[in-house]
Amino acid sequence: MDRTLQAIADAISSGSLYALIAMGIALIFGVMRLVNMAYGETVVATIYVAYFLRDQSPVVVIVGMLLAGIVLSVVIERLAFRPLRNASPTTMLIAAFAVSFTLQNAALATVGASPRSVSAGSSLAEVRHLGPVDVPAYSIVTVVAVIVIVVALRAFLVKSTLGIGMRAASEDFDAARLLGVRANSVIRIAFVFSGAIAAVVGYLLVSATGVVTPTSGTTPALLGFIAVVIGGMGSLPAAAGGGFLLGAVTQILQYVLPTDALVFRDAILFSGVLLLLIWRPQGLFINSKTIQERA
Amino acid sequence: MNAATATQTPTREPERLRRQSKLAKLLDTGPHWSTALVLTVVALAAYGLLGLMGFGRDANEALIMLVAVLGLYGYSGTTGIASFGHVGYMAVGGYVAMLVSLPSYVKSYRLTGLPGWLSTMELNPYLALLVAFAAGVVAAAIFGLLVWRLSGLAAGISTLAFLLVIYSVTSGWEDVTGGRGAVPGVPSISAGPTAMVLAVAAIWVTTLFARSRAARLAHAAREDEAAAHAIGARVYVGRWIAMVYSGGLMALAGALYVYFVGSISPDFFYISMMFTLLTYLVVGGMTSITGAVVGTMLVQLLREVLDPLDNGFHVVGVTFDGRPGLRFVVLGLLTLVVLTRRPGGVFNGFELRLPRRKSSQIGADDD
Repeated sequence: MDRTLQAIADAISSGSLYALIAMGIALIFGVMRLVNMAYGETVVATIYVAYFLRDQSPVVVIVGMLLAGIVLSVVIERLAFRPLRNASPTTMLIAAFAVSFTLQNAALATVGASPRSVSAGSSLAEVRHLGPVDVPAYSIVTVVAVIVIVVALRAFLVKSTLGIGMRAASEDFDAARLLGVRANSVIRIAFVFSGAIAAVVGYLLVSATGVVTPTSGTTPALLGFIAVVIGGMGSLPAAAGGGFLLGAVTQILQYVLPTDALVFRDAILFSGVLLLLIWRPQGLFINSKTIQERA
Repeated sequence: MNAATATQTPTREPERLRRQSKLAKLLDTGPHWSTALVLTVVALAAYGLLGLMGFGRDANEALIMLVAVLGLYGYSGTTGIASFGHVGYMAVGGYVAMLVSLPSYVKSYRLTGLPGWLSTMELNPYLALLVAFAAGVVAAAIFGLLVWRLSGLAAGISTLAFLLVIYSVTSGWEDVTGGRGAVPGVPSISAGPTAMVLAVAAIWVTTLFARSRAARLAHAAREDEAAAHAIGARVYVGRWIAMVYSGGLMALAGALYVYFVGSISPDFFYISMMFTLLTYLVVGGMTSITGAVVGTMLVQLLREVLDPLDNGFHVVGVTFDGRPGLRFVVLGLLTLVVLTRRPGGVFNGFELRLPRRKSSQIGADDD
């Protein structure tokens, strides 16, 4: 019983991190049909900022990370993605890979390949006992962060003019523009939010691992992206749901697979994703096919 | 998906273009047999140039990459679907070649989970290349059946998922693939001549393939999938054959690469290799063989020219220590510039060819 509870706790905690990354990717996919594979590198950049600000107070570190995530996202949008706004999603995906490759090598050329230890958020690594389950403090913070961000985003999307414009833009970008929604503002604000989420992800990620290398972002970004694919592109709740589902499935596989087969956990997981794509290219939590077909 | 197809494929106005420029006599909208001839010369010239510059080893690598890029072209170029997973076939080819040709004493301590017949098999590496090719064909035939209906983004993502599956299997199956660490002791072949022969063969066969019925079916769907279906073109068959051809070629390139390096590890065939190949293809232009070949050779030359950025230089009093990774920053930016300024790549779908005798007879000398 305790083992089951522990597995559920682990599923929720890893699922919330995937959900956060998935939301960062889905926000941008929603408004411009861009699969931002450079998201992992944005996250890594914020962690490097934390590394450079290691002698500063925690508040400075957090503000610095947020600013870095937001500024980098907005700059990438302006330089790499805006010229491709009318290109096909595939071309934009290739461009995103190019950005990711460039940033990774820029980190390699400036900071170097050796792992850097980052103390930001290290206090969160402490294990707390919640009844029968042991969870590190960062897991609790991750869950809280998901809830806060979902509530804040929802308020923004429902109440503010820009947010309503953003929802309109993800329904039909051209029609929204005809009705006076400013394309540049909508897309920029999506990147601002996505960059801020990247900083939160960076903080949570490094509080769990404690180190950063230029390639630390690849796996989290891929998992976040898989979460978006599972849940469904273009809808924030669907993406977040995909993140939690991915966390749950990973834990279930971990729990039920015999020890010999554990090394194939990821292979089974990704095969499932592949079959899901063939069966339901639009994702599990989205009904219409139109969201994918529009380009 | 109409908008997507329109932006991916170049607008073709051969008549206007031909009148505009004498250079245009050397361009064609599809591959001619002489395309293969011109490209063979280009590839070998670049190979020689790299050799003369003192990068003999990298020149061999360039030709192996060329085989892989032609493999990627075989699918992405003909179908218009960007594949992020073809590196997975390289892994299939590389691991199969390693498994059938690795000396049994290495297998006995490193790969303990092999069945008896495989653990003693020490095939000649050149034969192993054939086995690897066959393995790639089989893998692509199976995966191709799964995804032939998908197009656009879903197709691209499914190929990425395929790569992730291959990567997790090769890095997880410790006692058969050697796991994440590198498996040493792979027998060597004379990389230069082999790569040269196979690269030239790949250029010619790919040209033939691009002129085949199957490739033309796939082209039809690349230009306009709905219209292709409407006129009864068996689009999926074309796509499947393109997948099988490119899978075989990629596997061959993967096996060559393993023999060239002398060891194998799952990380050889992962995101960074995928991106390298994609860069080669995108810079030259995804939809023509000329784009694939010239792009590969161009970027490879550029890599060598930019080498001082990584390893330092000393020119007229200016000393730079070198920053490993810096040249890839330049190459990444270059890819972005090409994507944003000229999404069709340098060649934008056009093929090089020998000049026509009568430039006015458009299409008359197609065969």
